[in-house]
Amino acid sequence: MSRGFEALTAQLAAQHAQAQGRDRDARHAAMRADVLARAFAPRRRSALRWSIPTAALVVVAAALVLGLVRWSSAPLTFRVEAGVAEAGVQAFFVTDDAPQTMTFSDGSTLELGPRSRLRVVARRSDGADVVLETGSLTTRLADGGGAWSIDAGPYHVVAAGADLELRWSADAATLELSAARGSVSLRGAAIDGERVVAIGERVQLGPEVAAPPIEVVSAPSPRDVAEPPPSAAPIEAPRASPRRPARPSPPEADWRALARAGRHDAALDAAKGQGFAALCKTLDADGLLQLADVGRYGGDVARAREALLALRKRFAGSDAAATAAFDLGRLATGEAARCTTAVTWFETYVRERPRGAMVDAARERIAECRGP
Amino acid sequence: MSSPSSRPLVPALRLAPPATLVDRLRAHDRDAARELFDRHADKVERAVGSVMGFDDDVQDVVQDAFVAALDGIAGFRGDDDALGPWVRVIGVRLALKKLRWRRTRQWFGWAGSAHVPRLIGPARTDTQAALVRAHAVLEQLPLGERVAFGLRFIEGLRLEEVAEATGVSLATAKRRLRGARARFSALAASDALLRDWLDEPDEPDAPQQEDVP
Repeated sequence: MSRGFEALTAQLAAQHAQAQGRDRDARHAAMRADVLARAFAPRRRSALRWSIPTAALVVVAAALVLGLVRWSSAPLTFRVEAGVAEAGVQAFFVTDDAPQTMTFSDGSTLELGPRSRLRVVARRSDGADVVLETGSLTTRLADGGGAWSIDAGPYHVVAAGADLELRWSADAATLELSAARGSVSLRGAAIDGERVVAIGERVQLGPEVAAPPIEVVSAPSPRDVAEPPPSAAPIEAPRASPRRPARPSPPEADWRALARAGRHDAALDAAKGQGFAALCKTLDADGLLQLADVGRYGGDVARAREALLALRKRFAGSDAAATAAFDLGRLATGEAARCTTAVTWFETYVRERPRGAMVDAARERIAECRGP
Repeated sequence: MSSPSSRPLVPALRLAPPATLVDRLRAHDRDAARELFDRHADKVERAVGSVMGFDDDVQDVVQDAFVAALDGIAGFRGDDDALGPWVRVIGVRLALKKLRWRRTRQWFGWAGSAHVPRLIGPARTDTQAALVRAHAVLEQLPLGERVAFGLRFIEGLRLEEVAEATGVSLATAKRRLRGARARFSALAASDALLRDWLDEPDEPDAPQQEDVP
């Protein structure tokens, strides 16, 4: 049995390695930012520290009370058709050319369309939280249940007792949402507050810079729609107005929080809303590195470069400035015909921090750029 | 008249040795904290992931481990090379604590927002399906055995490292690994798909695991 055991554990190890490799840079950037923010935050230990016996008593009492209260309200379970997975075990679903249906214990069903990916991240007694990573999802949520949460890219859908269809293309960053029954609302980076989706309505959201943020394709029930109802007065159609609606500038903490949540597009949008150039002039070195990460992972290389160059200028000679040189090299590596620039930045890093943590990586990238 | 000085000539200025990462961390250097994370995040994340499985809390535990390490750096007794294993130990212990807390909540029947293990890839192939089942089996192991199993067979740590990370003696770590493997095999034997995997015969000259007879 030993050989089979080793083969199985090797598969488990490979699966873990594959999972860890996914989005590693973006994930670690967000994690690092969180660690630094927490580790260097002002300490409030003395005010927060409880005596151990008191804390233990409170925990035990709370657990007893909550255990009694929640005893009969176990979270939903689900099963997947055709015995693909055992109930309640698998939480990450990927379909090929065939759809796949998940049936929950309250009768709700989620049908995942072909070539789609869905993650169940939490279950409650009256609903669940899922993430549609790409593809399409059709829900038939049981009446009388609680709110279900569906995340798709930078958008957040909350539905109760709803039949809805949701399509999210991670590549094109487009979302389509329509509701045929129940209560459905939508939040997201390009939406001010909460947007109620009316029955029969179909909402499309496109890439933020290339299309209007919200395009209502059909709205047979205007009273439920956020836009004003048709009237005799001519109303400018959203399609005819490519300008984004005016939005209040989000507070400074917003773009950091969004970045920490991995929502780099939204974080970039928030940073731009606050004034990217002003941030470049006022943030500290670590903030500028975070801002550059937001630009980079938000797909705006120019903004990332702007933040890094500001850091180099304002904090010349610091470790952070050397890290910025490395990041500038990395940015240039991603652009065709900029390998010479990349090499220059990597060499700058090596020169400024010859014993730095990333010196080996810089040398490897110099060699890659120069080729054989 | 003063006699000539008998003191040997020495350089007036001695160059201080470069500050170690540990020294810089103790000085609350933010760049050092960044460097600590960049050097060791992969290692810590792998260890925590091997213990917790595909779990959304892995990132939180890794972050908590680094924050705890930075908070407790004053009490760290070791050099730069020992930092990585030290943070890994912290991460594994925090993961164990998290898993214990979950089981306690389950025991009380309080599972309002149930933990759902996250798996990568479709379950449409036999291999993926087997891995789903394997994770389900791991969830059934006693925590000490599950942690040892993950660190040894998934992360590939040496026995001494497993013992250190779990805070037990080498003998206890060996015992837990033997128990984990035996229990895993017994549970897997009741699953048709896993049984097919485990029934694969040994190669005549296949080397045996050094630590698990």
